[in-house]
Amino acid sequence: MSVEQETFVDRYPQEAELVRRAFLVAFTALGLGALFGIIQALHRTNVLRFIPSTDYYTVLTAHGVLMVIVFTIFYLVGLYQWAITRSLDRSPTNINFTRAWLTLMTVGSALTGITILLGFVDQVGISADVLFTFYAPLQAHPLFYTGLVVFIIGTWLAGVDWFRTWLHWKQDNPDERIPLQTFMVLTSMIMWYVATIGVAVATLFFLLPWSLGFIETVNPLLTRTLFWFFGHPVVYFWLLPAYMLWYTVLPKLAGGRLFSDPLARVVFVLFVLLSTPVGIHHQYVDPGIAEGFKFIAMTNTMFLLLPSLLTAFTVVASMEHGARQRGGEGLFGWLTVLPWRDPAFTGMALAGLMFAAGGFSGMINAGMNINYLIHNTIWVPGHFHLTVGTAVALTFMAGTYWLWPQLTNRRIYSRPIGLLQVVMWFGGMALMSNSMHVAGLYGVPRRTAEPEYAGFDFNTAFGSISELNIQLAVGGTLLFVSTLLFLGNLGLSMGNPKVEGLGQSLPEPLSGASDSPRVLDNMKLWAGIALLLVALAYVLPLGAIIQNGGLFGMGGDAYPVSVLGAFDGLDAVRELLGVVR
Amino acid sequence: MSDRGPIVKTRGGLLVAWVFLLVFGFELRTALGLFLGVDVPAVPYLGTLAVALTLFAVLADFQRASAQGEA
Amino acid sequence: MSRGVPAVEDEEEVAEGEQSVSAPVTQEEPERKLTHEEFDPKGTLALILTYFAVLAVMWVFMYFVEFLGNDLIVVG
Repeated sequence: MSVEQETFVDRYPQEAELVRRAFLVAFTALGLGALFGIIQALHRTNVLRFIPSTDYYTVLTAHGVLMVIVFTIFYLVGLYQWAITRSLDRSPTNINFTRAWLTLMTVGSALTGITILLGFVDQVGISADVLFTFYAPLQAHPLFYTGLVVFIIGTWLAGVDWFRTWLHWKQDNPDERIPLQTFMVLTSMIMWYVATIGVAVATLFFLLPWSLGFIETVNPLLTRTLFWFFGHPVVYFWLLPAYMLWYTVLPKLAGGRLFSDPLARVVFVLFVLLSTPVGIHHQYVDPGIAEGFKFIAMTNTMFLLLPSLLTAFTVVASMEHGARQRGGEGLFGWLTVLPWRDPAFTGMALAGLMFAAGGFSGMINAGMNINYLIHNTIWVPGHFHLTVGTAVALTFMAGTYWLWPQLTNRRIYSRPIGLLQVVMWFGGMALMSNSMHVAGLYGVPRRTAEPEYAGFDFNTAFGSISELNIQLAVGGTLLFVSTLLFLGNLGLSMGNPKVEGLGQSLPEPLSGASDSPRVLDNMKLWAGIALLLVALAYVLPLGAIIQNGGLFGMGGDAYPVSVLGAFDGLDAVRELLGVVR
Repeated sequence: MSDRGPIVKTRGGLLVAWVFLLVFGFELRTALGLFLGVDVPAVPYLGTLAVALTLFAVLADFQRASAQGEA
Repeated sequence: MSRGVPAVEDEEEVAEGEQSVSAPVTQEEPERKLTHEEFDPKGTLALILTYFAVLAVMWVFMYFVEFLGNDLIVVG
């Protein structure tokens, strides 16, 4: 039974073009980021070292920024533009405004990205080997911070665009409930606006002027705390688009319907409220923050587990509905009748499974005292490669196999290669992340090019460090090959002819929007409570930090990571602005 | 068993099952090592697991193919 | 360009029979429809309980490690 359906690109060609553009930037970043990832995996395990270890932080900064700022957020804006246009069945108010924010984001990431990559070129004194977290006193070239600011402003304007579209739709449909996908877009953006306050203040008022020489020093604890104000909710900014795919698309792939629309709304509201007032859980080891504030962050973090557990239930129940409709029987037997040959389904299902494991290690990180066991070890990258590296990245790739035909009217080049790719990602990540978790428990550090020490051996409970290193290298290689397969498959799809009949619609949930309390749609209420909770969690700690260490710190030298080269233009700018160094 | 049909009906499903069981076995070895202090050396045991699972996969594929041949 | 929300019944009819565009053409279609009342997610409950059981065991284990100061290895 198939009805000739319009695809998204048939109905909204201009919007589809912008979604494709956003995905193009995202996948370029993914490819480049993957290249740097494999370099790291081979280098730190001493399997193959072809860059000098002094360049390791350039590679690491590029890998981090490209993967978790450029790839994830460009994918988000593409996906969300599709989702809001589709669910409201409405174009943006002004498509040129949409083009403008996408361009701003692209320019910003290019600025930051090029600044990072120039760290490989010693002749030019521009670099930004400051890692994804850019902690002071590590100091990047001003263009790094400028690019970041431009990128974030682009994302703010994306939110403005989507809120505007929604408000116009609301005028035309005054009594309707907000469609679920639009609800997810709007709540994500409220969370983002609250979250970016921290990084915007840190960058605009402190780090950027400091790198330009307008201020002499910064208070590193203050800028760190402001970063982590943003640094935790950003992980949910990565996760929520994956959740959107799991809630609204995965049930259809499984052959069923979403178990509950109201539960999905509750989950997203909980993320709006709880994502930001937990940032201090990344700073359990920081001196200068009282333990009481860390404890508050910890309890908030435990509450934050709740929406993910709700998601586990709702998403699995929706898959089970699909399986039972397909004829599945038994307590566990229904799992076998799911459509495992569909790479979109399998990718998302395996990503969800891996996320459950990432949740286990996340709970360890969240416990203030157990955190000490693994702080700054390679356990932490083990954790986040399961969460952003699989739950998010693999879901995004799987979702692309389903969405791309609707954006282009072309089939994917090879479904079997797509299936191989997602399964290879799962296997490779299991190997690599397992190695990272175990090595972290043995004390192997993170962010280290050469984690081998003279006169010292790590104590292993079983196996050996060299075995763990081989595991990491093999896992990383599988991930790299998987990325190439994904990009190759997608690239070759552009050679396929345009065909008809690729339209897809999404089924209604079992328990629909009309079953959910109207208060859930009250965006202002949730934004207000979110700001209140953030104030409660942050005013006192920030006040204490400023009182103890001053707004600009008590002295100390910047650690510029630029290698002094022949020309970086910075002194010329400084002379122009009359700043003496 | 003979009236339930083959264990796997598709090659894609077989691939997913093979990788899943490999990963499961591998993680089980880590759990044994860290929780119970039982050192299960990779070289004989994980290698054996991989070979055994691959053999089962080949047999299951053969069963699938002959069931389809009859159908 | 706006048209309002499409009719719910048509979407539902199409969506439930429709195959995923990324699925193989030989993929079997759903056999039956289950309404909200007819569907009881018992399989989900079984999986979630298993997850919680693992979690509970891990937390008990953490008690032994963190509060009683034992080594990571409990046995042997």
